[in-house]
Amino acid sequence: MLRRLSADDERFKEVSFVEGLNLIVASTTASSADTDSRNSAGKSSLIELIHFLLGSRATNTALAMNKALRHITFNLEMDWPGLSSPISVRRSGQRAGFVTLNEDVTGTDDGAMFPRTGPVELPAERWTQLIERDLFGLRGDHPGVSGRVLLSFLARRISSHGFNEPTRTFSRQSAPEAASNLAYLLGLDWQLVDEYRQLAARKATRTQLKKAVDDPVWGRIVGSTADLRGQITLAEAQVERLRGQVAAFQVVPEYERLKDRADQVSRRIKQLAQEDVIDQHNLEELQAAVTETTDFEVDYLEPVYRELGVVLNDQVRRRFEDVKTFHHSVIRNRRRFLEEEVAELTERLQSRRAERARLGEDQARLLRGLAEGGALEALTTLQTALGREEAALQALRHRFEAAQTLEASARQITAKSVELQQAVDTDLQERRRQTDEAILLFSHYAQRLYGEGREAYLAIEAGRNSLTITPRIDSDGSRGISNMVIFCFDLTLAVLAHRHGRGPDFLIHDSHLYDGVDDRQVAAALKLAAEVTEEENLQYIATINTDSLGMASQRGFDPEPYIRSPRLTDEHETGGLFGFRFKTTGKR
Amino acid sequence: MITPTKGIAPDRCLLAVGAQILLQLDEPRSVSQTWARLRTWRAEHGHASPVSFGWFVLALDVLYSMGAVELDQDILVARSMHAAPLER
Repeated sequence: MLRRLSADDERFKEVSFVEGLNLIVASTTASSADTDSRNSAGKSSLIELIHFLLGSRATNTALAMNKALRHITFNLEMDWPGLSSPISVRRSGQRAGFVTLNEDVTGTDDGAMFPRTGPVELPAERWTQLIERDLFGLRGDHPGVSGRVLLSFLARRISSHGFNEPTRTFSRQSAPEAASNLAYLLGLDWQLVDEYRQLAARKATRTQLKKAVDDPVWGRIVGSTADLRGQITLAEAQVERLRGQVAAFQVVPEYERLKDRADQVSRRIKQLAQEDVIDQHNLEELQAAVTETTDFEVDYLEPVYRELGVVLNDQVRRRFEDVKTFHHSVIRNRRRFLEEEVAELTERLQSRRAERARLGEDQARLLRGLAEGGALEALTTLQTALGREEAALQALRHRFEAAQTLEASARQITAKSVELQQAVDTDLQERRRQTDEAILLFSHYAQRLYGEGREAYLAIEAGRNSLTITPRIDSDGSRGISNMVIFCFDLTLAVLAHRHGRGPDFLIHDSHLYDGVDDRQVAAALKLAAEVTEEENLQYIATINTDSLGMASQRGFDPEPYIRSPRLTDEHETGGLFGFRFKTTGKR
Repeated sequence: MITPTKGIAPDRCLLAVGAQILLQLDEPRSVSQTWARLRTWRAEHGHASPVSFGWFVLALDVLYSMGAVELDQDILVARSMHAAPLER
């Protein structure tokens, strides 16, 4: 039950509610046209505010976000399951992301409540979760069913065209989405019904994708399966090749150092060869020199000495023996020197030969090592390339899958929806009790409004794309019959949901519902609402225009006991709900 | 041989070669070094006539006989030609 709607602005007219039927009466003068861009009496605003306090999204066009109202904090008092006294929830446009509860009802999810004294501030989303948990009995995850949508069935908003169709609460709502929520309220297998919604989402995605693929530019992003198959084959070959290379790759530690060493060795080998050539040449010369210092020259010595005596007699200072000794020692010296040289050269050549052999082996070893493997950097590079190629291949495969899915999904979705239709149909058969209850209630209400003879039914069927719920009352030309279909349908929903603990105990209708409805039906509807709410321990809140009410009272319905304060009017500045006029944004 | 003759070119006679050897002995030098320098010198100065090592030694012998060179610990040392004549 809602108890009281108030605000911290003294001009605001406090509204209080009780159990059963509550009428908020507004007199609208003929002068105020619908096109008036200023708020009038505030009938619809009342419902907007209730939604705002029950956690509706604070969009820029929301009433409470209006410049003139932002600073006002609104307050709603309401009963809460498990609590003896009403709680109050406060929210203002300035801090629309949060609500303040006068006591903490978050509790634990096991239902044990130990209300703590003192107010608590919660994010609006958390508040919505609490409403889902405690008012609608939704536990855990419940995709497809949301407290906000459920509430919009129990308090239709004119601002989102909630009165266009019984089974929709806003004009762009998809049938499967509405059906999931309705299934919950009616006590059907809402999770099964929600598969329609998921299927619809898949279908939508597929349609979008298909469009994208058919588009010449976007099509390249996915591509056709045929193209992709070829690309995948190529990419696989490339990956395989790289993988082989990586597998066979041997890392030679310090590859660069080895390479330098190999270069050094080959340089040294070249140098050795050059030195060898030089030494070899010298050796040959030396060996020739050794042979040429033969003793035949000694034979000359004596004649030369004798000649010396002839030519330079007075100059000769040495005896022949001395000269001979000198001669021999020079030759010996020379020969020894030469032999030493030769020996040294030979040794050098030999040691070089040994070094060359050693270096040759070294070089062979180095080159082998280098040929067998590579540097660590090279391996890393290879691996990076491999990783890149593998990622590309993966992406191609994903695209291939997507393309395949796209080609197959149309059939899949069709098959799935046939399957689902079958499953839901079977389920409905097995839930005859629930569906019958709803059908009986609805037709009972319709007959109360239109008399026994009128054909009225609620059809619940497993459709191809959604669970179809069709409330119908045969038309006899009465005005506003479709509005009365909504009235009966909503009453049915509210009663069933409350009976089985799947919904709160209030139902709210905007005066639009009664606009253009035959006065007999207005009277019957209000009477019915009063009775049903008493029987079912419910609360029905309706805003209503004085002229609709006046006609109803002539039809034998006495509204007086049900009229709650305040009485609203658009006749003067202060007559409306807010007590002042302000510019509204958007249509109302 | 010592002086040029019909068979011995002026640049090959032992005295000439001896003189050339003395030119190389501005410092005490080993036999091989002296020999090597002499050949280089002769090539540079266009003395084409061949001088064998044996001939070089003979030229050294002549210088030695005249007291112009000595062999000191296997090193050839040039002596001043104007040194006092040795005892006979």
